[in-house]
Amino acid sequence: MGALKTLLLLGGIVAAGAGGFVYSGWYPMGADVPHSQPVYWLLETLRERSIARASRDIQVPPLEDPQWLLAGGADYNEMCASCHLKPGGRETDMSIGLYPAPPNLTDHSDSHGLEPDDAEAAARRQFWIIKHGIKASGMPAWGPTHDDSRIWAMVAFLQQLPELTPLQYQILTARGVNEDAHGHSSATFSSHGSAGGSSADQNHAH
Amino acid sequence: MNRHFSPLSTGTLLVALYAVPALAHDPQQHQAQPTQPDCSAMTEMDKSPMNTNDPVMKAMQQKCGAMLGQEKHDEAAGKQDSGHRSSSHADDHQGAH
Repeated sequence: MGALKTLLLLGGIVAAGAGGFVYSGWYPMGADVPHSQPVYWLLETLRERSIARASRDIQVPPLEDPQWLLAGGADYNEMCASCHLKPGGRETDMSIGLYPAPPNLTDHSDSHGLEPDDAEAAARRQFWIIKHGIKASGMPAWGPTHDDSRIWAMVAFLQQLPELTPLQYQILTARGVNEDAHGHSSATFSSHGSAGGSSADQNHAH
Repeated sequence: MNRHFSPLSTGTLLVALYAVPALAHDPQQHQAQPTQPDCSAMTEMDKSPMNTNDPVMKAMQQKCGAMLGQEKHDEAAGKQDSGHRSSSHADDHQGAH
C-alpha cells in the first residue's frame, strides 16, 4: 500500500511539473529554434506511426497512366514545389523556413523509414498525407478541396519525380492550352473515376 | 566637408554589399512559370536511349504531340504558301513579258 501511495505521489508530482512547464511558456515555439532530440523523436514517431496505421488499408490504383502524370504534375508545380522542390533545385524560402523541414520529394533517399523498394507503401502514405495534411507542420489537407482522383494524380507524379530532369519536369508540369483552370483535360480521369483507394481511405483513414 | 571613410566603415560597406545578394534568393523562384511546355527542346533530345513504354515519355509525347504536329503543319503550310507565291510571282513575270 505504501508503494502505491509513493507511485501516486510521484505521478502527481510529474503531472504537476508537466502542467507547470506547459503553462509557464518556457518552451520555444519559434520555427527557427529546433526541438530537442527527444522531443523531435517523439513527434516524428507519433506522426509516422499514426500515418502508417491510418493509411494501411488504402488501395493503390495503377499509377502509370500518362494522363495522371500530366494532371498531377501541373498540380504539384503550383501547390507543392515551393516547399518540396523541383528537379535541380536545392532549396526555396519555404523549404528553409519551415520546421520541420519539408521533405525533398525530388530525392529518392528521403523515404521516411520506408523500404526504398516499397513503392505501394510510399504511394499509400503520400495519398494519405496529401489528403489529410499533417498537424502543425505546414502541410495542408488538400482533401476538402481536391477529390481523390486528383490526389492520386499527384501521387502518380510523385512516383516519377525523383527521376525527372529539369526539362522533363518543365514539359510535364506546364499548363497546356487545352487544359482547364485545374490542369485537367476533359478525359483525364475518365478511365479511373473514383479510384479503389477512395472508399478504402474513407473507411480507414480516420 | 571633405569626409574620409575609415577602413572599418569601408570594410563594413563592402561586406554589406557582398551579403545583400547572398540573402536575396533567386528571383526566378518568384516568377510565374511559363505556361507553355518547352516542346521545341524535346525535338532536340537524343531519343535513342529512351524507352517508348516509359510513362514519362508517353506523357511528354501526349503533351507535345499536338503542339509539334501543329508546328509541322504550319511549317508545311508556310512552305507550300511560299512555293505558291514564288510560282505565281514567276507567272506574273512571264505574263508581264
